[in-house]
Amino acid sequence: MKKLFLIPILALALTLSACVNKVEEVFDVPASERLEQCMIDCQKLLTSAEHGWMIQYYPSSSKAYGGSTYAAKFEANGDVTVTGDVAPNVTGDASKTITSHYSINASSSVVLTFDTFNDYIHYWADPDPYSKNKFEGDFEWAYVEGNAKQMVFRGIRTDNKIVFTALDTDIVSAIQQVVDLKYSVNDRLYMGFRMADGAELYDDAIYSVLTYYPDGNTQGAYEKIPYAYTPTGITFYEPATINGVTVQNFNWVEGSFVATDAKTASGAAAEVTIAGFHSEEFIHYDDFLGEWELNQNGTITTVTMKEKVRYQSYTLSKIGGFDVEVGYSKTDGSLSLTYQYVGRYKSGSTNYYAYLCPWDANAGYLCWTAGNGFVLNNIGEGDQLVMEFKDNGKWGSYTTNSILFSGWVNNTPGTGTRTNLVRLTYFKTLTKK
Amino acid sequence: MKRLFKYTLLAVFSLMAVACSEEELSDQSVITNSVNQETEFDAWLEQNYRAPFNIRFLYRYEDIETDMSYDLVPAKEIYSRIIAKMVRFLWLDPYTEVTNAHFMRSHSPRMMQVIGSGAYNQNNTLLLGTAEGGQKITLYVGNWLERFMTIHYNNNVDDTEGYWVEILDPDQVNYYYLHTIHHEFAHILHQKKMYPLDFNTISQGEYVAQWTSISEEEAAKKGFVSRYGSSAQTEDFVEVFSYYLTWSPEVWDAKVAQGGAVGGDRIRRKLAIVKSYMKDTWGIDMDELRAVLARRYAEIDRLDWSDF
Repeated sequence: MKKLFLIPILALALTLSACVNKVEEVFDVPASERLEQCMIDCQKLLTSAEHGWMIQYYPSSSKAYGGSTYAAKFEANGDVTVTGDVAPNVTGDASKTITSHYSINASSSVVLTFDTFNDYIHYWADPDPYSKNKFEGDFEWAYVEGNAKQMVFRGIRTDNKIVFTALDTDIVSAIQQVVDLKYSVNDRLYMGFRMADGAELYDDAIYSVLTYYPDGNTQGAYEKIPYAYTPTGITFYEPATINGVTVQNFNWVEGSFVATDAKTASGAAAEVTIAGFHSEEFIHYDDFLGEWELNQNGTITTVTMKEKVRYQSYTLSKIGGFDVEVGYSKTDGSLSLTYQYVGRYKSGSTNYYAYLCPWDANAGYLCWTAGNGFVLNNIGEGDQLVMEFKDNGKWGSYTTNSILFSGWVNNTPGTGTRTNLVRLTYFKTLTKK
Repeated sequence: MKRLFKYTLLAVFSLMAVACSEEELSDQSVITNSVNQETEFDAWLEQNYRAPFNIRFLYRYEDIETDMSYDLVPAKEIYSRIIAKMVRFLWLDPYTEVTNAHFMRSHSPRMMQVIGSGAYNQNNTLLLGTAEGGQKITLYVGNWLERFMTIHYNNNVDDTEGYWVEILDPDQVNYYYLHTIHHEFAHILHQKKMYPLDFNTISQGEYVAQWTSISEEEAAKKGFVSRYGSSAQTEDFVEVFSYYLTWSPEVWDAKVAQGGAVGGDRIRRKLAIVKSYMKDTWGIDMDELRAVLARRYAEIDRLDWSDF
């Protein structure tokens, strides 16, 4: 009976709730129409910029590859024409634009998708020819907010902020300026940038990322500051506080970056300049190009250093008849010569896979481990460059002092039939001619 | 009885509750898309895929249609166009030629998707294509066409004034795209009607999950036309099917010969089952289809690549 008593109450409750059916509408129009309106607004803004947009894009959620700057012009028919500071790596020419399609779709929010392949835009997302998406980039960007001057998106994989700024020049001249400025900064091969109060920001050798050690101790805690180039300087991914001053945007003025928006903790405007610096041992990449005298166990031969990957490596020809790769470090002006594949070598009827192997001629051992080999530091007087061969300390108890070019029948060093092709003992110095 | 009463009452009230709500339906559909415009390629696809075959050819990247477990990029539009032309000429039309206009309309997947990059697996293998539930075929590595052909632009700059295509490496084009699509289509056919299970007994016990651990020659000796065929019975079936159609007779015969007495015999028996299955189940004479394909391969250079 008790249970039965509940029923009228339940019924009453249902009747009541059934009648209070007027839900107040928070929005005037249905969700789909609002989403549609947002898509239309997004596209209107994208296509409204007469000269297009400058885009600062950061691949990878870690932002370890720094920022990359694009300029893009969006058309109402779904075409987008793009160039960017990746152009020198892709087409070799920033004035060469590439046109592909974009679409605006609604999934969890309004998303701008670069939905057909564009060599520039998809550069950071393409898994070919690697086995993984090397740079962990994305090409689907969720629309956050915007006006005629600026639009903000977020990468849907990386969640990184992507800022669009309306251009007042055409996309090619904008990117040309960015690339020229980037070259003039890179050409100086700075180790980093220093503030007037001594705070140092170290620059990554390849990507646009600065490292800041708040305690001034390069073994201690650090902050990574990813940045991207603009036509006049650089912009940090987000404002960074360095020794109490918060900064984000800089103009490039003859070897220094001058902040345009520095503020102290109290909000007062501050003047901040970070000036490029080198280490004391610094030698410019270009100074190593040209002819050298190689002293190998007292035998002098002339060899040539040519550019391989600019600011990173050289091709040295020849040692033992082979072209070998020599590494360059802007940090301390040193060179490196380590274990490497040098090509095919025919000996008798066999065509070997030839490798440069570090060799300890005293102990009678050789090795085939990546990274083992020589480091070369300058011991010359005045302007005369004399690079001395030394073991780089990576080979445990053995010491690299010689080179043995070793041949394997299969391209699998360490296994299968091996033979000694060329033996060169006791490398001493390289002297610039 | 009590319970019956309780539920009746509940039912009545809940009905009342629903009946109370009065809301007019909007005359506007909630599904709208006024933002993205059609291209001329879309118009061509409408005429050549959607209208005749009811196939949606997807060349613009849509994340909900792609496999989220891979890092992928879209295909370059011009390569999608070339693939669309090629697939029509060397896959859709040949079946129509040996059957009738209804065959591909009924049996082709409802969706075909082209992806630009490869889909890399953890074990360093590469996914070239997938067939899902008879409804959808995805072709990967669309952007690799760049390696296998040269596109000659009439104005030497871009495709605005048309272009023609010079296939530099027909074997690779055949392998990566046409073999893949015949392979995936065979999956769709057997997903609709299973082939005779006698097929599975021919290489029973020889199937291995790690198909990359054996060479092509070792696979042939065991009676597989490709080492990928040794990964599963259904893969074996579709590999026999697709290679029989896309290899020249000389290459096919060489593969049978490579199999030796045991392997060669197995391949022959597998092919016999494939042929009778296709004839009995789908009314298709594999040798007639193969001849049509061979003729069309020779005619590929006559295709007008940019008539849209």
